[in-house]
Amino acid sequence: MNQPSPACKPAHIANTDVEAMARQGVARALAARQAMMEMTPEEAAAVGGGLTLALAKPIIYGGLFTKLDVMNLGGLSSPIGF
Amino acid sequence: MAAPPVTLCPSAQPDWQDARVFAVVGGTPDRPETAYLDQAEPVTPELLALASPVAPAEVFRIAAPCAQGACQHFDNAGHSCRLAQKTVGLMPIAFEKLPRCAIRADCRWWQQEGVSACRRCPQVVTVNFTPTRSMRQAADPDVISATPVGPDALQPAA
Repeated sequence: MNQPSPACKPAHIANTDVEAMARQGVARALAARQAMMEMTPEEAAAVGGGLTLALAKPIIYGGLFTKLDVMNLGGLSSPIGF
Repeated sequence: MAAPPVTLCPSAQPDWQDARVFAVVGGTPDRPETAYLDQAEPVTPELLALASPVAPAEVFRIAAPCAQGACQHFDNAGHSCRLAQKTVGLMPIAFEKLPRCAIRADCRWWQQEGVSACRRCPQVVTVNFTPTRSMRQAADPDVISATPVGPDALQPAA
């Protein structure tokens, strides 16, 4: 896949717009979780049971000093390796 | 007397001391885009509730004082953040122009990597269920050096 051309400038929002922007962020996050859970037929045939869930782990882009129950990862017990 | 400035990690978790939200991540799973706030806001239960039912760090970009040597990404010998180095070395440029950012002056990534970090920052999601290979590589503290992974860097990791 080719890298897309960098866009012009990131968005900048007023603090009063946080709620509306957060709704968009939640929608993106839920879609991201769904995308990670969806597997191709070949992938699904190759695994079974809890392994599907085991594959559906996020990365943590940063330091990790947080109790996982605080992170609300939807029943995932631990992120991958980070 | 005002407190001395503290260097901030721009990819912190909400329960870190003195955490504050400085941006919100919208966009799409394949192409997340961060919108930066006028002012960083202290983390409150009400603010974090806006991220329900997902993790706050899936939606918000949160800054908190850099933990330095207590963080697995910190290089004690070089006194630098390897995550910032790898972000610049591995991630593609997301935006040519820098965003207005409420934490820039105190940001570890900015202080260390300058505009190269800011141009890549808008694609970072702190808790990311659809990372690209390069994001996964950058986030892995066991990966020490920033070796580019090639043109498929934007493909979600398997």
